[in-house]
Amino acid sequence: MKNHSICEKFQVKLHEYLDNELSAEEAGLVKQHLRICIGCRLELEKIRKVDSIGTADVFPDPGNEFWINQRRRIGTAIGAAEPASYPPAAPHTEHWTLKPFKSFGWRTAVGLSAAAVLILFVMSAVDRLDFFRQWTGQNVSGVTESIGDTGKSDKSKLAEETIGKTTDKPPLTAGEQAAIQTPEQQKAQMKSTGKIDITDEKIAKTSDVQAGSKNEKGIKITIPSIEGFAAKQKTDTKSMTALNQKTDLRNPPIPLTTAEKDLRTVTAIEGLRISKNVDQEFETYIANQALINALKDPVEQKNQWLIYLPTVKGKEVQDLVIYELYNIYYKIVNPDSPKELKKEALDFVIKYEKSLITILGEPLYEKRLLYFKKMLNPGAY
Amino acid sequence: MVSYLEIAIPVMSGIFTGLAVTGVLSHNNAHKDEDSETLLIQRAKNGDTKAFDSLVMKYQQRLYFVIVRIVLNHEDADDVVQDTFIKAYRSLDSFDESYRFYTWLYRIAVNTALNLVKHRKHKESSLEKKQENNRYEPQNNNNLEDDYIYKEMTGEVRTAIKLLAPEMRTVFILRVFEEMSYKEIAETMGISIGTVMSRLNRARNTLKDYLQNIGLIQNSI
Repeated sequence: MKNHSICEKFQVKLHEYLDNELSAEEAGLVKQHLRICIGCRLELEKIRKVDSIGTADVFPDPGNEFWINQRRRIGTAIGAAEPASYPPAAPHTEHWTLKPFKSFGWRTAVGLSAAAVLILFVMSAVDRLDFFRQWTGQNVSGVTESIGDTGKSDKSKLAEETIGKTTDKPPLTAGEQAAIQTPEQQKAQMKSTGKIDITDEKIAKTSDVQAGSKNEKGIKITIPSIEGFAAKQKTDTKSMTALNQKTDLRNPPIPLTTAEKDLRTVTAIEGLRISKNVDQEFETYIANQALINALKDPVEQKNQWLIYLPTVKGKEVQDLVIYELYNIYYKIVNPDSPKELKKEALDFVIKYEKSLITILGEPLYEKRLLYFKKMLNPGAY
Repeated sequence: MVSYLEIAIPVMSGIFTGLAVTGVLSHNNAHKDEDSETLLIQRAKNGDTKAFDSLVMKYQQRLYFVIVRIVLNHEDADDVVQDTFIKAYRSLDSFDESYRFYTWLYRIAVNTALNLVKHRKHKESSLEKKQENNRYEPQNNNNLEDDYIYKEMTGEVRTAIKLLAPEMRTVFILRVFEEMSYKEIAETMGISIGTVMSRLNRARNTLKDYLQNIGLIQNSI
């Protein structure tokens, strides 16, 4: 799948591609290649991460007093008469990706407000419509039925816990409702929409067992079903699975196509035995993360991932593992990550210490571990 | 019985009207901004310092946040921004109004910043580091953990940017932070587009190596 000479040719163009400096034709070729080449996509991702250094908000706003003083000094230097007072400078709103001076004028604000009022009107109209349809005895939708169902299944309760019980969360979408349905409900719905055939039930029943079990070639990993992950989380609360589960439940994988179903029981990453020192559970977690990420991609890219993953071998497997691991690190270094996520990450690092040392090497592992600990207990280190 | 269309048609037309109003107002706003800027420049050219102060107010922050990423400390950034506006005022007569004012301003600022960085090199001292550390305390220090992360990230990002030679750093910042095109960067710095590309590539590769060394991105695929 990976052709190094072709990749080299495209990787030269990645900077210009990212900077929108290629012609439409060239950009199209690069885009096409990126769809089928994971190596180049990861390379592009690296460039993006590098660029985030340039936009990181590490230079705080010196404050309004400073801006006024600076203007006063400039005014004095150019011989301006001292005004009675300096109006305050526009507030600086930069934070990571926001740039200063990208605010809009009051006219735009008025226009947007008008649009917002109209949107509110739409929402209220939809509410009234729902009410009207209920009043006239019409079944509003399956979603409303699910929400109104007081006899919640264990799965629903678990999903609620995972997503968070706070009332400020938006109501679940139809997709999210589907994700927290019981396996039986899911299958019934899929059958009714023709998205699953009866033989798939057999696969679904065995899928959870297969995740983490080993055959003679290596670890057998299946495309994770949402119920499999929910169950895993219940029994393995301190694993990193919990870290990602929160978002995965809100972005459930879409129903699989026939081609994907064929791949469902395929040994996904046969060569995953990096070393005997790498914990199987850890490998399974990482492989499942790769699959979860793949399932979130648009259909075309997702299919490419699903074809690519079973072919991954040797060094590529290790790279994949490291790639997923660094995705975890990025969650940890994000200042917006809640404290419990950081704690879970630390637990994960400690739990899989041996595996991480094998993959990262001891010095790097030590550095990362210390970094995690410092984040949790700044005063102690 | 109310049909969907009875509700949807007025609602959709309302939304479109709202968006159209927004678009028209924004468009007019942008034009008015340009017009008022041209007017301010003309008045400043005629010695109206109040008009020039309006231009300073408009661009000082934008300029500061680019320059501080090139000179890497607050005091120098302050000096550069101040010098830039003073130089700009004094040479306003040479400003060709067919060009954009801020591009012209950036050219002055970038040249000033690069000159300062070159001359500063020999007197870089621990005193400066001390000043830097004192100056960039996070504003909200209620949460020790956040403070720690902030400092840690600040340190890593600054170390990374510092690895770049000033010219490379400038190209990188103008592209990534200011989102200038290669052509705009070339014009601002007075170099060719080819040089912009090679400096940008070298900057990104240097940063990539650094991030790999500290373990924030994987080594290879």
